[in-house]
Amino acid sequence: MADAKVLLVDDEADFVEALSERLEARGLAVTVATSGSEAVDRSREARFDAIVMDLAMPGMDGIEALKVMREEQPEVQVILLTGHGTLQKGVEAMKLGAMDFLEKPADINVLLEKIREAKSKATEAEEKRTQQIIHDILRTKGW
Amino acid sequence: MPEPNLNEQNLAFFGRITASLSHELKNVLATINEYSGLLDDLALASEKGRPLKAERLRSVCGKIAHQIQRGEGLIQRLNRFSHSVDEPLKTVELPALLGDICDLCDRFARLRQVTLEREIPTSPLVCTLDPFALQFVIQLLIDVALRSSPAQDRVTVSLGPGVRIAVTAAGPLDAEARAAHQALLDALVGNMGAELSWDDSQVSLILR
Repeated sequence: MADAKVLLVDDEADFVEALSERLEARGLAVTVATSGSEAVDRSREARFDAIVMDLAMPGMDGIEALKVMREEQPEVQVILLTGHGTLQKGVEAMKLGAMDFLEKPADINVLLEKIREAKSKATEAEEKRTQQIIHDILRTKGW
Repeated sequence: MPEPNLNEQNLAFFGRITASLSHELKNVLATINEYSGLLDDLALASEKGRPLKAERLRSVCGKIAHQIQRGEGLIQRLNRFSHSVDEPLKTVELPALLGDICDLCDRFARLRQVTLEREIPTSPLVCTLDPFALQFVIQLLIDVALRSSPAQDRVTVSLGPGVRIAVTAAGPLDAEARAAHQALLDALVGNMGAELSWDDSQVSLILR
């Protein structure tokens, strides 16, 4: 899956190091963050096809970061990773706009499939946005 | 204020600690999973002709070994905590038990971005008490102190003469945090035959 841009967020540095290397070996462009607040900063600097983010992190956790990101970029695709797969947290995350919710340790092939899905949704959202811009221009210019 | 149901509260505390430990163990397994997957990736790449550096393999194996050690430590903590309910009265090494409960609370502190420091002497100090109840009380005192301390600051747990365990926050103890636990603390401490002493930024449990 060449060219997919992913932001990987987890406070466990070793976990992030290993997973980012594996994703890069599969052709993805990976940016890493080790906190929720750092993830929010990175998401403001660049657009990502998918944000893969841990739920429980010191300071700003995954749910709080998701809320901020969705407010600023409604079309952002966030996949939450959790060490405790409680249904309650999953439902909360989906209600807040997470694309999906995976329990750790996650199978990399399942994760890649989710990222593929996220990229497809992100591309679709971008195309809609572009079409809207063109529509608005045509409407205002009266061509 | 209604009397706290100690059975329910004890169970909730047991669940809180075991859930926290299991969460950390999940992270250890997830990391080992990724590094073992990485070894698989490197082997596959080698089969396709990409050179495999021994140094890289050693580095990955070292990371796995580190996580296994970390997991072992977590399991030992879980084991000691689980066994603390074996007997209602037990003769224990107090510094070691205090160290254990601080280790168990490290994650709660980390999530609040507060450092939990220990000032516990290494000299032996033997006490006969309920180890589970003591850990519960200390965890509640640490919780009050954590809620009273801003991020990037510290909470200190110290053991002093007169068998006084003090938990010191970075600032004045939050009244709401104290009130949330007061009834339960009074019940637990009363059952232990101990007493609590509250100061501006510190609370002490005096055992004898």
